[in-house]
Amino acid sequence: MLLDVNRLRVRFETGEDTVTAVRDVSFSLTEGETLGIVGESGSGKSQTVMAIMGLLADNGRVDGSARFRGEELVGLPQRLLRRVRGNSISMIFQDPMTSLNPHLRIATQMTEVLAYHRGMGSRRAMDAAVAMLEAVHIPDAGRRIRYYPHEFSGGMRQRVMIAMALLCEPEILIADEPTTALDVTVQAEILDLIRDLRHRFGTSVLMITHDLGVVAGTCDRVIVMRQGEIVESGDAADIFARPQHDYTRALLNAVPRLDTPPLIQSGR
Amino acid sequence: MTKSGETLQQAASESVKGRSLWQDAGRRLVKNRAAVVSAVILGLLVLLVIFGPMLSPHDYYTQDYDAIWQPPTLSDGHLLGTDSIGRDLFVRTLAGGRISLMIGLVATLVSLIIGVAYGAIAGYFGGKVDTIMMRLVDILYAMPFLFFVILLMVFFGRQIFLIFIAIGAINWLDMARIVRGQTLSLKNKEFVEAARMAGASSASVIRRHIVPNLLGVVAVYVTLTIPQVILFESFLSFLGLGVQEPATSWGSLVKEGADEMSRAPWLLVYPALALAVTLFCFNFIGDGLRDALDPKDR
Amino acid sequence: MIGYAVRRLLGAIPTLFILLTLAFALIRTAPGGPFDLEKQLPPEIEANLQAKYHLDEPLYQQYGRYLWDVARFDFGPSFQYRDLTVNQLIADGFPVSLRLGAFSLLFALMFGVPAGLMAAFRQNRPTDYGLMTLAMLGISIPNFVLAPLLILLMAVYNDWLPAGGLGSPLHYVIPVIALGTAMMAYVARLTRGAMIEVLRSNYVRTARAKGLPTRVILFRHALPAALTPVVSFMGPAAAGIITGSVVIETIFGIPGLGRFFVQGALNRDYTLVMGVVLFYGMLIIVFNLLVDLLYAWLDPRVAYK
Repeated sequence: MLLDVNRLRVRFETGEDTVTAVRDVSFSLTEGETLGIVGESGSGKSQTVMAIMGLLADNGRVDGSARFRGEELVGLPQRLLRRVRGNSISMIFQDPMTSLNPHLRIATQMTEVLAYHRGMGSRRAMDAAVAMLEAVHIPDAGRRIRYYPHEFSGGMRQRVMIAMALLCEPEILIADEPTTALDVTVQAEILDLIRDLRHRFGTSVLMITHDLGVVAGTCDRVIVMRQGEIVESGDAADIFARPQHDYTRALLNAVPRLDTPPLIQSGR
Repeated sequence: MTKSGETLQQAASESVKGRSLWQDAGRRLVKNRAAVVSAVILGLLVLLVIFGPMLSPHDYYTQDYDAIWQPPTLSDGHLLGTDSIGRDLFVRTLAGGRISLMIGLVATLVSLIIGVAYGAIAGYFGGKVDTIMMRLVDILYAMPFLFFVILLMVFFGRQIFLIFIAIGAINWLDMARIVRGQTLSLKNKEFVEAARMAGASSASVIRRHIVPNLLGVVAVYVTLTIPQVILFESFLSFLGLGVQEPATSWGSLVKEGADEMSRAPWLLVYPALALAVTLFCFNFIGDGLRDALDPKDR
Repeated sequence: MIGYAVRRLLGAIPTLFILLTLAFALIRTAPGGPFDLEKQLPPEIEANLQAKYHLDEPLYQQYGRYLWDVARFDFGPSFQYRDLTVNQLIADGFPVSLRLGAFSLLFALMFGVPAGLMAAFRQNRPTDYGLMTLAMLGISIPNFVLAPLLILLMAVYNDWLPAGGLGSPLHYVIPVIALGTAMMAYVARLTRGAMIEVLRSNYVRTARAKGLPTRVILFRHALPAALTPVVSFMGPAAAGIITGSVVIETIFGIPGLGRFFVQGALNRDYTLVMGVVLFYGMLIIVFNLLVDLLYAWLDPRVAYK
């Protein structure tokens, strides 16, 4: 059992009230599997993983348990959590343009991860970073690594983020809506890339998305969240074929398909 | 995200009730204690400046050589003392306040008119017109305006009319930039497109849709421009280039006070206090308005 | 980057021209000025003017000569100091003003930036409110009000510091504080605002997600981004310092360019006043240029067009 989350609860204190974003969530992740967390905006899927990573806003409170290889992450002091983040558990985010620091070269942003987590000197770190950029199919990586983020296209930036996340060969990669901000064709490339890298490095993936198409292509198991709670979970194939919960059914029905008759007739 | 216990439906219906932008801003502004206190103080000050001189038996220009250099006392009605030629400081400070505040308001009005007109035109027409107009603003921004104004004062004399124009002409640049930015973003909003599709003319679109939405931003900048203008005028007066005798302003009073500060510190302290407090209050209110209208900036 | 620098340089030229032309127009139209044909001037001045400005030539030729003079940094003879040229006065006064101004800017940055950072890290807590209220005070109290008050406090009532002149390093203390306080307050507010925004940004979130230590995140990721508005502010700050020096030098009797300017203004020394305006104007233009280049270096997106 790689990640074992048990009755996780996340609340935010906003002056007058307390808002519960995640309510009694439990799931687990085994080695080598890809787990999809699906739900609409506001369902609490992002906050769940932010809580596990210890990246909540200052007014966030976490209860419950999240064990990584048996070690409890909830309540772990930042000093120790930092050794885990970027190292054993990495995360990539939705918008690669704003998620990369515009003032620093890619080289700096990548090598610092290796410098801090692996104690690598600049030469070795640079070589490793370039190698990783090549692994994510960035052409002419040796030269491009010295670029600034705004000199890359959207799809390439996301590749860079993925490369950066995999530098320390983490056991878990958390992808929070990795393709939402990208063009459809680029989306497919990125998902393929994640799949390949998964096999190559043996990383488990937590894929957070609202897009069922993404889930269908990449995930072994799925959990469906709504308003902070899990409403259904199971194998991806099962969920798609035999959805148990009304909400899951509604989600599936909302996806437009080519093999059903059109709702609006044209002309006649 | 819903509050504990509520259903999605309940939450949705509550948010539909909605509050207008102004009500929302108003609530936030009132919660800002500093701004509210400042507004009260400012209000009191304005009342004092207008009606205060009536409370005192003295006026601001009568010289009384029997009562020179008097420190603040309650006797003789010289509440704040007198200056080197026996003029009452209390009334002089208030009289100075009238001039300073009046210049503040009028010059700001000049700024406002020029700035809003310029910015709205540039923003609305966009394209080449905008580029040229804004380039001009950039160029003017780089000029050492104070020096030009001083030049003007030196060359053309110290008429009060000139002071209004000169000071107003300095501050319109900021206003123009802000207004242009707002107009640009408003222009592209859907409701303007809708109005145009319904056949509204450029002038009417500017008047009925863009200008009301500019009010918020403009209100903030007006509140922040007034203290700048007052500051600038007092700067000029301090240098001896502002309003002429016997009229006085806070700047002139501070200069007189500074000249004699070892002998009669009250001559410096009270006008300085009045000036500083006024500027302070305006700045706080302006800040409060800005936060109220755009809380993200906090 | 070079392209950007060249473009900015070219862009500064029209600004320069407008400055020069405005100044030229102003002095020509000034009633009672040296070019007022009705005014009676003492014969030596009259002769000087004729020789120098060739007043019998057509206007555009005078304009040309004027530009040529400025290009050679020849601002003409002073009106009040009969045997000095404006150039000499500027050469005497500028180094003094420069020192005062530089110290004031340094003062503003040295205290303003840390104050802003502290306020940002303790956002909405008492430290933040306290610091920002002080900043507001700093902005609201005009420097010519602050100066006498400081003198009263530190030189008159207590004998801690000298009240005027520039004899020793101690003499700089009050003038620098008086001149730099408003700038310091602006810098503090700017820094605080920028840092708060940066700390909330997505790229700082990523840096945290990478597990980097706080020190690295602050100094490498956050600080450069938060300081860019401060750099950008240096342009208007320099202009503000120059403006403020006019008054501060007068109050403290410091023989700098600002004070010469005021004396010149009050004594109707047209050429001096003009020369200082042009000199400072050009200085501000150049300074803004440098600030723009520095900004582009800090924020690589700007030059990339």
